[in-house]
Amino acid sequence: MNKWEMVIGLEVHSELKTRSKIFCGCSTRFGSSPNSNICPVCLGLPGVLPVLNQKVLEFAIKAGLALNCRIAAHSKFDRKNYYYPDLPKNYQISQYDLPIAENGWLDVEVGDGIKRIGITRIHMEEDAGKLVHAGSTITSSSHSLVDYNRTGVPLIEIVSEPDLRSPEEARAYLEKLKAILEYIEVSDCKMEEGSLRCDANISLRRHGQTKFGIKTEIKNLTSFRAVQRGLEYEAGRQQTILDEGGVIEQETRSWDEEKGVTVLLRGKEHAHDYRYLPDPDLVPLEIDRQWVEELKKQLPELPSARKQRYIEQMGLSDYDAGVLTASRATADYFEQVLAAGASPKGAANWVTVELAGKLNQSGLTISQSPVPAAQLAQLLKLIDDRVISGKIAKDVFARMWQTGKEPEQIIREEGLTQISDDDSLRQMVEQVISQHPQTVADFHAGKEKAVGFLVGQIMKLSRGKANPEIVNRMLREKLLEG
Amino acid sequence: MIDEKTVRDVARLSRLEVDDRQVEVLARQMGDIIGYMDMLSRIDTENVEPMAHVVPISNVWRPDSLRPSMPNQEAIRLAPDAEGEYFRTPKVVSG
Ligand SMILES: [Zn+2]
Repeated sequence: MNKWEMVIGLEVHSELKTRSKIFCGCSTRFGSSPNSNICPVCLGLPGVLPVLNQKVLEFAIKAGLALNCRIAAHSKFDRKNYYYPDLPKNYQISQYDLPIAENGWLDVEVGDGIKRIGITRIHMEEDAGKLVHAGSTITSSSHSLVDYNRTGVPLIEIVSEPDLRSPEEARAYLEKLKAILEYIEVSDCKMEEGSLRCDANISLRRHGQTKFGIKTEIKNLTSFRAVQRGLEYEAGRQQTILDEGGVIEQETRSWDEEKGVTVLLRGKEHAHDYRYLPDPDLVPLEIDRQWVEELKKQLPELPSARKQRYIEQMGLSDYDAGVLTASRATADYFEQVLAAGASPKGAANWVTVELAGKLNQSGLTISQSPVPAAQLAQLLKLIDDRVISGKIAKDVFARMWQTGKEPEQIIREEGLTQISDDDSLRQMVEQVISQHPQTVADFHAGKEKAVGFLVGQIMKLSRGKANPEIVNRMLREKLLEG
Repeated sequence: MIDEKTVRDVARLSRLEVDDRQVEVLARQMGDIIGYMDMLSRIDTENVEPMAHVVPISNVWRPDSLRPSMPNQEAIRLAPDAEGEYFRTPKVVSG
């Protein structure tokens, strides 16, 4: 890539989590039986009148505010005309020249600094239906089946400026955008369910050049990983063409996750001509400034601010604060652990390492954690009070995860209390010393490592229950005595 | 003003079939309409506010509440082709 600079812009579609659709009272619920959440309005039957769901406007304005956009005073809906069976009206109600929000930005952490990525615009629109291909593969089936449940589910499309310069930056931008939309509770942002979708535009140009190269658009990027891999592949493909003196065709390509390549979807000659026109069924929007101000006041603390607070007021590392604030649910859980009396550093460590590990293994989200925040706080207190060691605590935590029992009950039932009592520890120290005369000799010959080995043997003898600090002190005393 | 190629392009975009004789007529008629628009564009609109809608109302919306949907089979019955709970169309591959 050294000769070429990547220029990337993302178009992100996010489903808004309203109860009803954007222009009718049908449910937006995911996973309903096919064609059960449909009505004359979302099916586009003749003579119906769409009416805007106010919540959609509210959510779109909130998203605009959280992304530092200017909220439009005048806005309207337009018809975007194209033919595809997932679109029953043969046009999609969208916004063309007067989108609800424009000219925003988002700060993204890249490498060792922060980079500000421009947001061109945010507009409201309706989602399309879903095609289900009959038969085993797309090519072998003779028909397509259509489910219109998703038709009319509200979306916002967030278009970035072409400010991204690498697949990593694109991924970081998308992750940050997702976090913000989750924080302000306007979207669930589940890429696997399609409630967050991303298309990417990418072109290459020589370093130092200001003019953009010819771009291609990549569709079907259905995960963060796909966004990064798809862009890496496409950058490589374009580079090969350019290095050989070829010309990039302006075209739309589709990411094939399995094969790890992008394939041609349609060329420039088949580019859509959407012939936008104002939708006469929907009246214009005049946005009340006071309402916008009220919505602004309702915005919660956003991820960047929260992260900064964790670093400055709690003394957490940049990394830990970043992991904790990446999703609102994680940050909320962490703060519940603190509210139950835990110290920030201990809680941060346990939430980002032990808890995150277990959640990952079992494919759960933090809100589904079998260990509630208050119980994790109890466990941390037992470590602080030296009732159990950090090592034993991991076993207790595993038992809490399995059984849902409180930590104290598990410790009591399984006799896991840390041994701090001098007599039993002294016996173990003496036993280990007498069993390893060669290691003791090594210690006297100046090999500091020998101590670690002996401590390990004592911990093993106590099945991990000995208090390592006391063992260490006692062992040294004994060795120097002898 | 509107040539036959433009008529054919617009017809294709609208998925309409037009024969040669119709193309000739439509080219003339569409030319007349566009010509009329050109006449409108000669009017001085310097101090006129842009208007997106002919009715002077704005901000018509409804609360986010559910209303009953149609029974599946009632909707399916309206379709020219269906399979079980689904609408059915000829095979579609590209987007
Ligand atoms: Zn409906």
